Amino acid sequence: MTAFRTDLITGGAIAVIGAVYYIATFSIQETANIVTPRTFPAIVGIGLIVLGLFLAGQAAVRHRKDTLAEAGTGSGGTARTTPARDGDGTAASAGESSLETADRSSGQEGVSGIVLEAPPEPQVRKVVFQFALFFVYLAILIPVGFLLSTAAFLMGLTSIYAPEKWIRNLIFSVLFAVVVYTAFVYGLAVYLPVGILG
Amino acid sequence: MDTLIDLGGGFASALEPVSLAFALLGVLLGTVVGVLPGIGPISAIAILIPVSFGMEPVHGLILLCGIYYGSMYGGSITATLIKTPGEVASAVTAIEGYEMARRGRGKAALATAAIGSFLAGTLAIIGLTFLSPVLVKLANVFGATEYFLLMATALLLASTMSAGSRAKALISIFIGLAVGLIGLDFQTGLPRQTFGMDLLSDGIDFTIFAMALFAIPEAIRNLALGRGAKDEIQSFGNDKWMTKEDWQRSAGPWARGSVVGFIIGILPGVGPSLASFMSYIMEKRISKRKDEFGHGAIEGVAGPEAANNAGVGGAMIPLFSLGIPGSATTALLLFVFTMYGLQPGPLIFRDETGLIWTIIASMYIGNIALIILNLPLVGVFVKLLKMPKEILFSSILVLVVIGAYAIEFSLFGLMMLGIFGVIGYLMEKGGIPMAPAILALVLVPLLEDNFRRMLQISGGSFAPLVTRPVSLSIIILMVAGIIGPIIFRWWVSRRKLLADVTVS
Amino acid sequence: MRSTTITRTRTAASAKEGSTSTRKRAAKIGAVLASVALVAAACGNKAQPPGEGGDYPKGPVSVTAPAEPGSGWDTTARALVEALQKEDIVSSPLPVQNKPGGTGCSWLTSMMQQEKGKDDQIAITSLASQTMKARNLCEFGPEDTTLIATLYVEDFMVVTPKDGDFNDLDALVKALKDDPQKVTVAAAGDDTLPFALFAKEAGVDPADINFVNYDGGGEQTTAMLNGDAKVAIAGMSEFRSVIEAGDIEPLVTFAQEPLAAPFDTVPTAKDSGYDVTLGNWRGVYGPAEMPQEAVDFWAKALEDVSKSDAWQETLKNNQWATEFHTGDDAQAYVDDAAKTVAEGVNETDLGNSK
Repeated sequence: MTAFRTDLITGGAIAVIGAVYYIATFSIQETANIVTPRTFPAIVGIGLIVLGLFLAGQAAVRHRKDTLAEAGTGSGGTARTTPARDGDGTAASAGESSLETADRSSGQEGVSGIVLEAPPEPQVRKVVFQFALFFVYLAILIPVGFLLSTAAFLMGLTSIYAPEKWIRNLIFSVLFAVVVYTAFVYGLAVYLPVGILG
Repeated sequence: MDTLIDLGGGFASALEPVSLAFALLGVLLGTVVGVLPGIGPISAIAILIPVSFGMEPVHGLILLCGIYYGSMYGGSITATLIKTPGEVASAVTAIEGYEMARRGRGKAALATAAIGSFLAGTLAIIGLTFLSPVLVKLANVFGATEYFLLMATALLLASTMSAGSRAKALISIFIGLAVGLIGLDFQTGLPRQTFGMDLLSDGIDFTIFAMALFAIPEAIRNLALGRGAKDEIQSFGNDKWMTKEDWQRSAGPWARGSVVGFIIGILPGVGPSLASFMSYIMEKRISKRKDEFGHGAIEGVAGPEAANNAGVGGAMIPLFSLGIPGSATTALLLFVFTMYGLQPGPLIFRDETGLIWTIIASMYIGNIALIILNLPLVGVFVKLLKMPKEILFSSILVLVVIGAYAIEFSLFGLMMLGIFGVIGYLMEKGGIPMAPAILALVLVPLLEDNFRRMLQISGGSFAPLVTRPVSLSIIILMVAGIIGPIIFRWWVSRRKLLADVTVS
Repeated sequence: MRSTTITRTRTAASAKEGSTSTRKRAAKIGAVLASVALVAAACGNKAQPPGEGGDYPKGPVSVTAPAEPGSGWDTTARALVEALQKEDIVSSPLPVQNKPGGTGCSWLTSMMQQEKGKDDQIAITSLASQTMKARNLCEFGPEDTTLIATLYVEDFMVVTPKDGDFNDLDALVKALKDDPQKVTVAAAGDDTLPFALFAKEAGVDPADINFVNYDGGGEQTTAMLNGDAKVAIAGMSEFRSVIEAGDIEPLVTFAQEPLAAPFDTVPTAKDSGYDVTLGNWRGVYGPAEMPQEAVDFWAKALEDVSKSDAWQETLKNNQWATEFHTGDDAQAYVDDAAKTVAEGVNETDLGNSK
């Protein structure tokens, strides 16, 4: 995904969130105070709309400039190559972590060797799957209990990653769950859900 | 002179073998508990308060001071190593500290944090010992107008915290503000932005928000990458101790962080959390290596860690002198004091001379215990990162979940963690930095309350912003701080241009 | 054993009173302590089903402060448990749990619904919960629950900086009449009611009073010292230490009787010709439809404790005045207070303007 599209989508999403947030402020009960409970949320909602639209607009403008420039140079540059006004910074690259984005004020000179190459972006499908597993864990934690759900969750994650080491995974999953449970419940009196084992 | 005699008396009782043992035990317990995600100093003290009951007040308080220092440092350890901050201050450490750890500089990061905390903590206690009566007056020139301005300035500056687009940093701030406003309105008790859900009326807990934004996206991304991408990530583990350069680069931030942290810490209600953010912003602004920020700049760990600990010392001044807690943690300490039958306030130095100086002395000792205990352990903690990636990151997810559970004890809290984890991941995808949102979440109640107070007091007029000397000074500084760099940059670029012209 | 965390908590009798209402920031700590307490309590519940037969209570009984630690409700709960155990009135574990939320409304609602019919729960409540109900911010008030007893009343006090604009009550009233906008009154949300009633008595429209919201005595004191607030109103224990230190002076109290020393020279509003008597009473309630056996047990236990030396000492240290009622007396007292609050809220337009 290009920086242009990322910014366009991000900006649009932020503007929509801002709009929803702003609409929600209408259900705040008004009072006679000078600054009512609604004032700040409303400002924040409008701020989000404006910033979202600005980001999307900025991306669109830069994209057009780039397309024009590209027609001349033929380079495969994206919005990132557009010079920005002081401190305005570049649009972050496709979000492959902030590592790629150099601070504009000095980034032009190139960044020394400490910058790691950007970590590759995982496939969307896999991320969704990981989050799905995580939510399943969150959902079953209380009804099923900490020990069972945690052991299962850890086993699942580690087995997807390294299925051939299943013995190690099993030992780790069970041991980790038991040790953590013991530490919290008996050491700290923070009671984790017992669930069906209770 | 009396101060010194009293302090000497304090040391005499704090240095008894039993007291020393409690200080060390406290630091150890605190570090162990603070390392657990979601369990910052506040929870650590809360959880361990019962341990201290039944003890002599002196011993109990020494123990708690040790726990406090230990857990603060413990929080920095998790922030650095697994990007899981347990409290506001270590959220800043998570930015540079984690990047350092990824680059195999975890040891240096933890060491500079420990040494910085020690130095700043000690300096702040010295300040507390000798400057209390003078500095407490500072709190009296800071009214609602000044607080509002201070918060607004902090947020504006926060937009320069992260690399990349200013617009995205501002979006991050507004996301933080938006989340921070959810819940019951402080002034009227009316529900706001709860979308009809009663469960939202207590707002979003900071720790859940910070853990969700920092730790979850990182863990999920690494797990989703699978094994193929195993090696490009980090040299986690091949660690070197602080180099000579690290020392040189840390010294300035330690000193500046101590001063900034101490002064901000004195302001009641602001406390150490803002101090560490301000120190980070300042270090980044004055650094000659701005490009390294966000990629593991040691200044970004040294400064905030120092500021945080100095802020704690500063926060003790209004606590001891006025009985006003300056932060959540000092509020808890106040609670502890009162449980021992102590009434912090102007009279405590007179009525409880022996005890109060023992506490102050035990803070010195707690600080020393911290560094004695933790510097040798740095290597041990860093070794944890050598675990296989899938085990490391899946364990982090579990620990974060426990942290969230230990805060809300409800499915709702867990779901909030998951939802904000998704939001954090999307923010990262969209290139929106996390740290400004976290600062905004912390500051929004202060910003809003004081804005409303200011206008309530003035009857709706904005005049106090410029008619009050202190607020006017803040405005002038703010303007100078924004215009100044622009002029400076223009001047530099013009000179460069001239030079280029001359060369050619 | 599981509730060790909480039951071993000792609250010094002189514990500082915090603000009664739930505040977001402080609530963070509260939530933490609360959560620890909650789980301890929850496990207790699970292990010990509600007792039957004559030997109530069989298991631990949670004492809930529906606010953060250090708040008024919390100190009351802790001091009460301390006294109950010190005097051996109740031998079962009494874990104190903090359940902040909606100025006590969240827990009150739970006690009306989820905890209905149980006998292993009691909680602290006060005037603030009645204000919440009167303002339609909470569906229930303490008068709707199984009220077990009222314990004591904490009087409100109006204070001003020493050498400030007002030397006495008359100066304050005069200034209020001249220009109420200029007299900024620092108050936590729920504490505005008595001041509003006072203003009305003094012939000033309560809607004109310039209330500025602060969170508890500490913030109020700073606001007065830095000039943001001219006067402040709160429960008197909020200001005790600063008054003793001499920075702040009391102007008036809304107590029925003159206060005990060292505040015996503070005029009461009633004696000064303003018929406002309103105190922040604190009481104990159980879940809706609490078994009669449990209600009787607690009424007796609380009566015993209210006579005990430990509790009397606590009251004295905190300048709390005994206001002990059980059964119908308590219900009548609370209903009466509910009426005053409801009227006050209506007349002073508190429900809308503040």
